[in-house]
Amino acid sequence: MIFLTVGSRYGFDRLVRAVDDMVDRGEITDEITAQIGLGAYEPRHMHYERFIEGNRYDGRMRDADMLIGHAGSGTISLAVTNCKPLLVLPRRKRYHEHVNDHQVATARKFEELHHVLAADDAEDLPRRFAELHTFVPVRRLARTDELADRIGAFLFAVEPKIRRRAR
Amino acid sequence: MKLLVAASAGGHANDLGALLERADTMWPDRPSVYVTTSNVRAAKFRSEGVEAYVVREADRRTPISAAIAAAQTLRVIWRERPDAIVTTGAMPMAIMCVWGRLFGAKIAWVDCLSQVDTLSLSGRVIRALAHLTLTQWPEVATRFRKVEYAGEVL
Repeated sequence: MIFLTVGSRYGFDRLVRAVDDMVDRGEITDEITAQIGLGAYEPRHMHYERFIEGNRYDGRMRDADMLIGHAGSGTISLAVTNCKPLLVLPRRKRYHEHVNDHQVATARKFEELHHVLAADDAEDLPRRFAELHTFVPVRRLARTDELADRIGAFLFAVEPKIRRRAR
Repeated sequence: MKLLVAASAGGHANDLGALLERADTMWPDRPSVYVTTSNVRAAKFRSEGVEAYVVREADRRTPISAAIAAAQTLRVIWRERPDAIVTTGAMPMAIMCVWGRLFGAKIAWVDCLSQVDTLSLSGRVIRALAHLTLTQWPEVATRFRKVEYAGEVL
């Protein structure tokens, strides 16, 4: 099963239309379900929902063999933690898909590290999708404990000053 | 310590969620107030007994939403008077940090994971008043003054 997700914030018609066209042309034959957010384009060749909340979203993620999505950190994070092959298309400022082109940088960075595959544009999706079938994402070793610990150290350091203020 | 944590929906909330999983053992206090842009997230936190506020999502393209978010976050700070704020962004939470600072809160800003080779615009503005500004990419920390790298959520 393939799960297409565009995140919870904006629609992403360019991606949804491109994938819908791939299903239409027979380039995607696997069962596919799409989460399209507030997008104006309504898929004609695949099942879709606008928003999928909480547990059901996690379930879709777990059930999927492959993921296609925008290059949002939430989507990439879920794919990497679930060890799912993910193909991303970054949102672009010039199409008014985001405030800036940070998703292009995110996609490039995570592709360099072999955690995801990234398509440059919609025309590039079929070629990259063909690679997704054999793509094995590299596991990521995050220093999350160290980050949380640094914030903890900061909070412990400011605590006495806060106490003084309270008195 | 009255700790307020805040994150917009999406990647920001995931980043904060990963940190909160570790807060029990690594932070002096559990957060007592959660600020989000998602009704679903807010409901989840309320069900766990944490005070939760929902504010309007905004970015630089939506000045009216930003103004509404500014008013909403001012109300949150006025009512809650947090001692410390930990946030992973985005813009509405940056505005809230300004209000928080005016009311004496200590501010920790964690730039979002998706900012892989520069600091977010919010981060660049907020680092001037935050007490701790963190990026999740080591190379970014070398390029911006007052910005540290300590680890990443992913």
